[in-house]
Amino acid sequence: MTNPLKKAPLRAALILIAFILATVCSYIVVSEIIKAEENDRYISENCYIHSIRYNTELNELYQKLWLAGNMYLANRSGSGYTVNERMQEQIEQCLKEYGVMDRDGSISIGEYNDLEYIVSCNGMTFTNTDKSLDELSSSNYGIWWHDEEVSHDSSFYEWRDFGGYTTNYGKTVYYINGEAHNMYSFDTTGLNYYYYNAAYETDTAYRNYYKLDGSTPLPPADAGIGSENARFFTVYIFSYELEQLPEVIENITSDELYSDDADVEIFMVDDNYNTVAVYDLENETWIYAVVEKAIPLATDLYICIAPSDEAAREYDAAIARLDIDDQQILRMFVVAAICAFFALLTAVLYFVYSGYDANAKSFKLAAFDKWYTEILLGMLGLLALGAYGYISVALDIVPSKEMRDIFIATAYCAGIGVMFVIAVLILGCIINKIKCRRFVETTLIFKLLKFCFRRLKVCFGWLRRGLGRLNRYCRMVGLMSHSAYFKRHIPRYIVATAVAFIVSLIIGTAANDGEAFVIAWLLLTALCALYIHLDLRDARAISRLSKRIEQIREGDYSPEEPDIRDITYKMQEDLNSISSGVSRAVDEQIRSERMKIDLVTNVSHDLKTPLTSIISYVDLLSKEDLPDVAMDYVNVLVNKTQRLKAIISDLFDLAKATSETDMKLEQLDAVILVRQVLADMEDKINRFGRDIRTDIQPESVKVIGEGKKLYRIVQNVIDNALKYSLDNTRIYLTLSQTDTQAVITVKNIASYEMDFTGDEIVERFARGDKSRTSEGNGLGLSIAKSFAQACEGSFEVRPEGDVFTAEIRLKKVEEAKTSVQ
Amino acid sequence: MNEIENATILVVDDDKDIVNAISKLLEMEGYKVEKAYDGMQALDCLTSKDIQLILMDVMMPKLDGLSAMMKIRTTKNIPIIVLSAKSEDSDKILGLSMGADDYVTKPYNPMELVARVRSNLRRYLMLGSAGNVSGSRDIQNGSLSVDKAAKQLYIDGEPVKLTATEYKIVEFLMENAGRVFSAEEIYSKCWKEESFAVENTVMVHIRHIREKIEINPAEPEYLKVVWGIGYKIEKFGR
Repeated sequence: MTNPLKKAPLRAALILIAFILATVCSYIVVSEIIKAEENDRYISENCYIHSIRYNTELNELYQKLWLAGNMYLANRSGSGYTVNERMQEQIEQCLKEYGVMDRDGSISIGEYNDLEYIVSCNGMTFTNTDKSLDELSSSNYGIWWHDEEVSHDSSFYEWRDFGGYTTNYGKTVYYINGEAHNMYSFDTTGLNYYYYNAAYETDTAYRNYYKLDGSTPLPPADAGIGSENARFFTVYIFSYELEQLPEVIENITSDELYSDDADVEIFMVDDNYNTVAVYDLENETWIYAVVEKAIPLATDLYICIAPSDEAAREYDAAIARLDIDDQQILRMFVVAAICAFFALLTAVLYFVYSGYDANAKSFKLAAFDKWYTEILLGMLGLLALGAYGYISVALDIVPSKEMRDIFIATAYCAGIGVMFVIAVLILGCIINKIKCRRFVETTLIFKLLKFCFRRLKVCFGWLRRGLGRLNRYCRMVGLMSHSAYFKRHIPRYIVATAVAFIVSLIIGTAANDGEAFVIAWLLLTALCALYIHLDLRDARAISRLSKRIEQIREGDYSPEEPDIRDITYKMQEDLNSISSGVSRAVDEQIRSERMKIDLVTNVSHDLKTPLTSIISYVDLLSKEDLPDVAMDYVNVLVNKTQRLKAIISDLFDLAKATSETDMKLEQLDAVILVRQVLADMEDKINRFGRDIRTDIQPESVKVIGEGKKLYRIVQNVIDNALKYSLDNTRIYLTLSQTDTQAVITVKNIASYEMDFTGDEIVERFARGDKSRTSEGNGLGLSIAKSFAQACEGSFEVRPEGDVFTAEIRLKKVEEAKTSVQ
Repeated sequence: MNEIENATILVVDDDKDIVNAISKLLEMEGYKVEKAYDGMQALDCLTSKDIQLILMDVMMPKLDGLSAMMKIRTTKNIPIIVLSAKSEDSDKILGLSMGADDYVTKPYNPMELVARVRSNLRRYLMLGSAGNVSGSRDIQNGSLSVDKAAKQLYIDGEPVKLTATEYKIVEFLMENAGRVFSAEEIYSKCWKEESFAVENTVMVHIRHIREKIEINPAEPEYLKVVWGIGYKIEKFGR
């Protein structure tokens, strides 16, 4: 039974299922997200604790309570203030500014129906609830403050900076929501301010006021700071305009301080950042008057704010309802996860069977599978990017009304399904590539690499050829190293150098001195180098001599003047005399050869002239009316004169062939040649009544030679066979070829007993039958041999029993060789 | 024709026997013969007698044949046949290039000598006035000419009898004078048949043609075998 998924339509169905599952999954997710968003909005719209009003009121109330506690309650005891009037005025002014105090001087916190609060200090309390401090502070929501510490829930409350301190000379600093307020317990008229920022960032906190006449209260004696000590303190120089950080001058005396710049103020500050002294620029004197020692604000102040019980209950109920909804959403998410799981499962199924060709019963690359892997991966990447954008944009509009429309939501989810399916299809293509083992092959990178590799291979080819050349060169050097010279001398050099080293080592050891060793070694090495140099010179002389011998072998007999210092001087002299002797002998031989040819030529000329007369008169005689007997004699004369003429002509040709002048070597076809000669001699062959059986194997054999001479060779050989073959026998002519030669063989049965060797018969004027009666002149075969040699071929005769074999070998045209060169 | 029959031939050779033999031979053929035994005598003879052809040896005392020939060529256009014992190609080429019309080697064949004399005379006397040997000559090559319409070959204006095949071969080779053709090529052109082992057939025809057109078939002037390659008709200038 075959797996149905192996068929393409069912795979399409699978894809459809995956699409539906993905769409359903995303639809569930989207609808649940909408539900969660709606719940959130419900809470923030309907629960006080979750509202902005709560946040605003809490902040406002906290500020008011802090001011009421720290400024009012902390500075009062019973019904009156504990601070002097100046301080009291400033406190009340500040409280009024912040709306915590009425015109008539009583504290008014304001109406906060949904919040309950308690602030207590110095045993006094402001509150709007019956609950005790402990009860209120145990509330699940809200905040409390004590001793500069705040417990607060950051989700409800926006924390701002609250704090302050009191100095030991009557100044109190409060900083509220980042703003600082200085309050003085003494008269501040005529105060000059000085810039000083050591601890706080706010503008107002920068300003500290001092009386420059020195009437600003001095620090108490127990502060441990006296004017006499000031000179050892750190001095800060400030520049207003430039707002630079203080320039620190360590351990400086007051005498050294000066300033021409009115904007520059000079302070002395101790290690705790307490101002110790201020420089009066007008009077150019130091005022040792100011000490700021921070004392924390009231420590027994408690502030506690909590939402009303009703608000808390309302909030708890809403949260509880949300929890139930959350569980429901979670459940739906599980359903969505299951959908997603099945969608993935179908995708995996698809991956397993994608690309299966039911006809071929194997996995095949279909249309898109053949695309470059990089393109598919790129598409996948683009799809992922697109999906990310799609989802994030959609999430932005999820809470909007449009999304709540079921059609729009469905369309949106179908979009996600489509993207999922496209991703599955692309992945399927890639996976199919892997299944077909074509993943790497179909990548663009692979193609490019392959292309590059092919190019590289060409380069490698060049490289290999280059290396081959190098190798040949190395081999050449290797051959040289095998030469007698190198074989003989290299070991000698090695031995000499080694001996030099050992001897110098012995000397060095004997003298027990490193320097001696080095000197001895250098000297001996130099000696070795000299030895090698001289040896090389001799070697060169020997190689020159060897070259000279080679020249002589090649036929260059010109003498060379030897150098008397050479080791080979005597040898060269002897060689010169030998070569001149050889040269003379060769010249002699050439001359005698030429003389011989001249002789033959002259003789043949001299023979020709009388022969001409004889022939002429015999001819005339034959035309006379003579008696029959006389006519017979004349006929004999005619025949013999003709033969004489032929002999002289042959003799002349033979002499010419040996001298090898005016040769015109050309290319011709041995097969055609043999056929032509046979056709040419047809009459003669018929006259002798011999059958010539030919066996010509090759279709064409190109040989080198002179047409006329080759014709004479073949003609002579056949002629010879005709003349000396036994009646009623056949002549066998074969033509074959070797790698370098064309071989023409003529065999016949001799009509007489052959008691000669092959070499003898080709001698001039040699004839098989000693009687010399038949029509031959004994020159035919020797002409054949001479001509064959002249044409760079060879001619051989082999008498074997009664079988006479003549073999002509002609040189083939070396096509292969010429093409190689 | 009478003109040829009555031509006067000057025979020059330092060997009197040879001169006599040649004279006899030529007189038997009906020519008038003048004799000279060296180059000087030949030149003298030429000034005094009306000579139509000269047979001249090369190696002669006083003035050798070639020098004499050069002198003659400055004034006269009559045919000169060189008769020499020197048989090498280089000698022949030298002789022909110095102005000889023909070159016969010693010992000569009397029949051939006579044929050459006649041929040269005919060429000189008849083709010298080529107009009267009119008729259409489609191809002209040296002494050979072909009338394609009549399918006729002429040697020095004299018709030669050839068989149809022989004529075809001659016409084909004449049309491509100087070019060498293999037996196969000739066969396929002239027989218009597929060729196979035709060397013999072609060679037989060639030999027959040669016997008809060549004075000495063993040493052909026109129809030559190029050994190992093929056959050709030598190309001559006019």
